[in-house]
Amino acid sequence: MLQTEKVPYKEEFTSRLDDNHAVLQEVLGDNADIIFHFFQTGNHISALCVYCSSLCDSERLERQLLSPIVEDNTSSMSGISVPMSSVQNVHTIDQAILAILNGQALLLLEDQSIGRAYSVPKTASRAVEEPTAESTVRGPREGFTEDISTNLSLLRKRMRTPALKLIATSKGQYTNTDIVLAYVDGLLDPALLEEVGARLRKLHLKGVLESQYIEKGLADEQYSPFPQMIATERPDVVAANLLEGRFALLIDGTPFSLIAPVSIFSLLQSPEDYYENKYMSISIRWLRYFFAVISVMLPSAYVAITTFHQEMIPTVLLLSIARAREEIPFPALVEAMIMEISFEALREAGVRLPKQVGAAVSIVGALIIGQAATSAGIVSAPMVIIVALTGIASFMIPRYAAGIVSRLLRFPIMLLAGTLGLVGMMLGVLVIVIHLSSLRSFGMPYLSLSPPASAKGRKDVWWCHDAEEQANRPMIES
Amino acid sequence: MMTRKKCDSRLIGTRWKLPLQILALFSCLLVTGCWDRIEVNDLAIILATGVDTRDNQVELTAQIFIPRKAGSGSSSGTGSGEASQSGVTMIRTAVGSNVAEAMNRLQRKVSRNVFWGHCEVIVISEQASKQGLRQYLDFFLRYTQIREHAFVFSTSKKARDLLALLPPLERSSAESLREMSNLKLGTRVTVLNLAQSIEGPSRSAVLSRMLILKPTSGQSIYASDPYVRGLTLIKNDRYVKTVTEPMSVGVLMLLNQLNNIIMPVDIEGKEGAVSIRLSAMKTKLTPQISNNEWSMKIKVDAKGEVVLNTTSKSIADPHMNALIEQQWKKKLTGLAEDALKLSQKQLKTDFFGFSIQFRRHYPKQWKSHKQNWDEILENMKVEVRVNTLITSTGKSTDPQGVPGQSDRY
Repeated sequence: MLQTEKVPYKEEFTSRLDDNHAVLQEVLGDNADIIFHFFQTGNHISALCVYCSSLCDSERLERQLLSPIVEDNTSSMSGISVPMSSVQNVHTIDQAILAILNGQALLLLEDQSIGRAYSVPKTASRAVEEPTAESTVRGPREGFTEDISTNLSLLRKRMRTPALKLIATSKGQYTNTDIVLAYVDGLLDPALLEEVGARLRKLHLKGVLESQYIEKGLADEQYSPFPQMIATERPDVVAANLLEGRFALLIDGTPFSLIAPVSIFSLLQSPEDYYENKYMSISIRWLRYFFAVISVMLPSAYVAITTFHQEMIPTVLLLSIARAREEIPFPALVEAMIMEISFEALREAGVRLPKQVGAAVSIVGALIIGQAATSAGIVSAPMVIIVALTGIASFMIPRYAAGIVSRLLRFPIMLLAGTLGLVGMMLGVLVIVIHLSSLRSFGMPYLSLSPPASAKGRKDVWWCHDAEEQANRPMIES
Repeated sequence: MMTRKKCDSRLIGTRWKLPLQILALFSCLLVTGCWDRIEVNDLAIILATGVDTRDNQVELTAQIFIPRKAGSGSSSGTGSGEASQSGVTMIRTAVGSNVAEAMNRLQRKVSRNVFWGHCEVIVISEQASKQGLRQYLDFFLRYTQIREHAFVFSTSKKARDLLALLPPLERSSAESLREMSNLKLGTRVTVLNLAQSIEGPSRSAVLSRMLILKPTSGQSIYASDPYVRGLTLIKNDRYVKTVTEPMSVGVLMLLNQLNNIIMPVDIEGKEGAVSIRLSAMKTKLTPQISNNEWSMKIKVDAKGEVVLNTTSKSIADPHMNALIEQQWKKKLTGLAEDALKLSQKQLKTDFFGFSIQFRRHYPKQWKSHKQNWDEILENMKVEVRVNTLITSTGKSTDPQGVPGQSDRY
């Protein structure tokens, strides 16, 4: 079903070793790390081993492949026996090229129109570490790495069933990045599977360096700021979503894999919701929903109410605000804009800087600028509180990509609130709601309450699902 | 279901179209410059309004909050003491032939937008209410900014002087007035209540009467508080009488608004007295028409706690307890009867809303007899039944501080 990117040189190997060598030399010859190694087998047959020295473990290659062959007496490919399990027959030139660039060693013999690719990978991947972007207090601490085989093993370890299907393909004209489509057979809607396959087939990219390249290409609505796939670096999140009838795309070279189809509520759910006590999870989830709204609306609500609807503020609070705002030279809208933009700048600086300098940024930003701006009478203290609350609220959104959306949408709504008051704010909200209700993630409505295939249903949005566990709970025999 | 939106080639060609459209829309909002925003800095927040009369004209006084003097946020620790001395509020007064004109002239004396949305207190002097409340009420209920749940007070002094006070305890005298209203020391009447009770069948209203406390010697004459003293009675929409204690207690009792009071009760035939703190009181009016005779039953349920006992008897003694209840009942009945006499015979005004009860329970009879209501009220037989209950003796049962008392047993 899935096909790899087309590479020219579809012709098959000939039985003449020199011709085969010439073709490979033409394609790969300019590279410093491609080694063409001629030698004789034990039977004095000319043999050629082509491999990429930067990807192959040369010591293992010599010990496990070259030494046995030099002492081997057979004359045909099938007769060669070496102590290696990962062997693949190669018939065409393009297969051979892909195999070499994947880190396999290609063995060709004189008078044989077939090659063999042996896998002798040199692993240069980092160890499995705790995911940094999605940390939880309780739950597995393993995170995906950049190496796809490690990631697949992490996933397979969690789902020991033949129903888990891992379909490999590769994308990127120049990167040939391995992509694995993972789903659970029987849980994923076959129509959806077909749709994903079709979209992947249509996708032509120069290169895939991160999962975003794929996400952008597969999304239903290109212009939407809302993420239509979840990017996660947690294998347990991938497994849980596969069980809910979603599919996942694991991409080589990045620890982030993609999950779809998603709804806005899945962006607001943390894996920990299922690992902690139910009532705790429900309250925290509701707190998260509340703060998700806060993170988009709070500055605009403040601007709208203080500049248009002062009668809505309780008297004593208005007096405090009036007192704090007395010296401020800017309108509330400008003040909010200044603070929000500088907060975004601080956050960006904090992310970019090395860890050791990061602390300095927060000190300069929070203490010096925040404190100095209020005492100099440039920004009012209530505004600092509003911006800080909004910042905290946007950090509460468990998915980073969704957090970015709230940061982005805040500004246009703030402009609307500053010009039209609460009416403008409602206009902004209406636009967002209309957009959200027309948005689809792989055909599934973005506002849908239930995951594609699950008995959990809607309850999972405002409550934590536990019907399944209730039904299967062991009873105490008395 | 799975149709993917095809990427139109025209869309890619005009990839700047959408951002440009959004930009154009936003500039429509911003470029016009005709937004009606008002920053908090541009508001003169009015906390209280006073209505007086001067030469048959309306004198409107506004108490305006001064944010600068309220001390800037961070240094409030040192600034607050000073701030209230120099005053967080100021007053501005304007005179006009009616209240709307006065308000218009008031704006000319203030450099910021006068904002009435937080005016929670309205003080109407008795002098002004003699001219009739109608014109003020219409304005207060019509002008959009003014809250209809602003509390209304009356004063026998000038309302202007009351608002000029800078109370040492509260932020402003408006706040003092509001807090006092919340303590239920007098009647708790909002603009809406006042209008409803004047417009209703009883055509009367009762307002708390505020006076100015004399400042402690050496202090500025403004460093003082308003205080509650008695009630102002309004008939139709005009001032008729001021009542003070003990009459005001009876009036409040029949209005079902008596709260927060400690009453001394003399015990007949015994030396000393007890004081009772009222803990709950409920007054219920039951109208009755039988044989074309209109009568009213007033049932008062009072619960109290003894807070002082200067008699020699223990309150734990059931006889003593019953005696106190009986004496208290007598006192309350007396107060109620005095108030009724004032209402029925002297002022001939239905302050306690009897007419509302009759209209509710006997709508037909009310309709046919409402022309001679004043007459009916004057001659109506009113039965007052007071039930009293002492719920607690306080911390002590026996009388305390009696010399040699513990030797007696």
